[in-house]
Amino acid sequence: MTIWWRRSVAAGASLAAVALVTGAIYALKPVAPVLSLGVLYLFAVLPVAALWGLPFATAVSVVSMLAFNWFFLPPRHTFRLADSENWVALAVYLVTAVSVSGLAARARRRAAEAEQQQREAAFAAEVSAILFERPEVQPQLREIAARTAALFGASRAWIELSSTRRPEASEQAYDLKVGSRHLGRLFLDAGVRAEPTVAGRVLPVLASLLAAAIEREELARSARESEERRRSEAIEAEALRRSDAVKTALLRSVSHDLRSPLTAISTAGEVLASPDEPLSADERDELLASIRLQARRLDRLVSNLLDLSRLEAGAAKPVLELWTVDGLVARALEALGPASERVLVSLPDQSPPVRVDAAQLEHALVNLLENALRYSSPTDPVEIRAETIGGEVVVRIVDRGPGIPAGERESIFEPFRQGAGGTDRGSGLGLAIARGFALVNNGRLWVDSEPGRGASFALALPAVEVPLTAYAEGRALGRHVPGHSV
Amino acid sequence: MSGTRVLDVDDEAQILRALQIKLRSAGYAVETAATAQEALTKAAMRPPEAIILDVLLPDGNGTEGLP
Repeated sequence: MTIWWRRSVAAGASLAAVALVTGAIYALKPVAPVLSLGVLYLFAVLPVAALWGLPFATAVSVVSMLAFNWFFLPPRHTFRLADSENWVALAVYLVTAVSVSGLAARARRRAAEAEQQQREAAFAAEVSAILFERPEVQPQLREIAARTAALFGASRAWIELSSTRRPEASEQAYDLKVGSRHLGRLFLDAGVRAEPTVAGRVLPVLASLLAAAIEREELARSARESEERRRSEAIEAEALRRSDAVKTALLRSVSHDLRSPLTAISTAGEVLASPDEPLSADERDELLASIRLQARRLDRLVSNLLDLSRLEAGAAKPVLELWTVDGLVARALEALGPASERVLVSLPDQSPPVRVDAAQLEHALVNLLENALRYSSPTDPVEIRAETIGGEVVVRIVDRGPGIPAGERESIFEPFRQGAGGTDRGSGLGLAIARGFALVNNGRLWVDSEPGRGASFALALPAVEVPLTAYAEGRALGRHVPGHSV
Repeated sequence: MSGTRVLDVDDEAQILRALQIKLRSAGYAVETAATAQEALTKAAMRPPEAIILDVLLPDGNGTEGLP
């Protein structure tokens, strides 16, 4: 439709131009030899050649030649010629007109091609600018597709990376390839036919720009990943270095703690063993008691060290079972031995159940109680109580010792931290272990304290909903609730 | 007692006691101290002929007390 319209316009305009020149020749005829004026028809032919190409210009050349013959060459108003020289003149005119048209049309085509190539170059420059605006390719595709649509005169275009989707009826697809590498597809709406030469020039350029941008994105990603890896390795190395520092501190602290009871035991043993030293029965008893006490201290230290290393290695897997708090407290008091006489127990009648590893919890409670006893005067009691607050069972161990300054309430849970003012030195491991066991049993351990008025260690464990019957049965049995092992 | 006077300094009561029993039965006159402060006071009052000194004490490093 449009092409016919264009041709009609071209034909009309050509005829008008021929008519115009005919009029001009008519006007100039009195002042110049008419034969020499024929060349004026080139003013009609040349624009036609430039605008609509050689075929049109040839037709116009012929028409103008005929018009010249008809209107001006005798006998007028016939296509016959009286003078045979005029045939030559017309032939020369026609040849001149056609060859000049050819030149004009070619110049015009060259200009159009140059313009097209300029547009394509501008397109490539725009696409690369868009691609390098951002490190990622994907978010830029929409804009690139819009530019591509404009270049091809399509109303819509879209680019799908690594796609081999078949075009639907309303689309046409072009592969974007660099060499044998298939990057994806460009889809244009089916309304416009992309000119094959343009597509042949533009699509490889578009594909290689996309390939470069994708490669750059991948390089950046791998650089980022290796940077992340390097950083995490550095962090790991730092962690190792710290754990080395912890181990050194451990060795230093522990070698003293291990050696003291060993020295006490071996000295007492030597004195007891030497036959030439007269000892009273009291002295003998005293030495024996000392050996037993120091052996117990060694045993506790060694088991603390083992617990800590298990916790740090993540090997302290709890065996979770249903227990009541009073059952756990009873175990802890039993393990604490004679010192438990100083512990004041106040538990609620309905002892709340928790799901924990009893051995680990016993150990945590013993450590907390020992810590509290160590840091309070021998005449002061240490209290242990429990309550259920918002889905948690909170066991508190309250002492009347010197309390803990705000700045140390977290650091005391780190291994090898020793508070000042204890009545005898601990290993600096007890609280770290207690917290470790609290955590692996899904609990929390913290300390509240008012300096000068003692400390209150709180061990919070998730409360468990238990059917009443099982709970009652468990309470009747005192400790372990049967049939609810996890 | 006329034995050589020894001052034994250690914060570990058990070690102190065992050493005291051993030294006394060997004929020494033994005095004991559990802290650096106590040791310095006792040594000033009655200078001993020998001191057995634990290095790590609660109130200071044993080596600080050496002349």
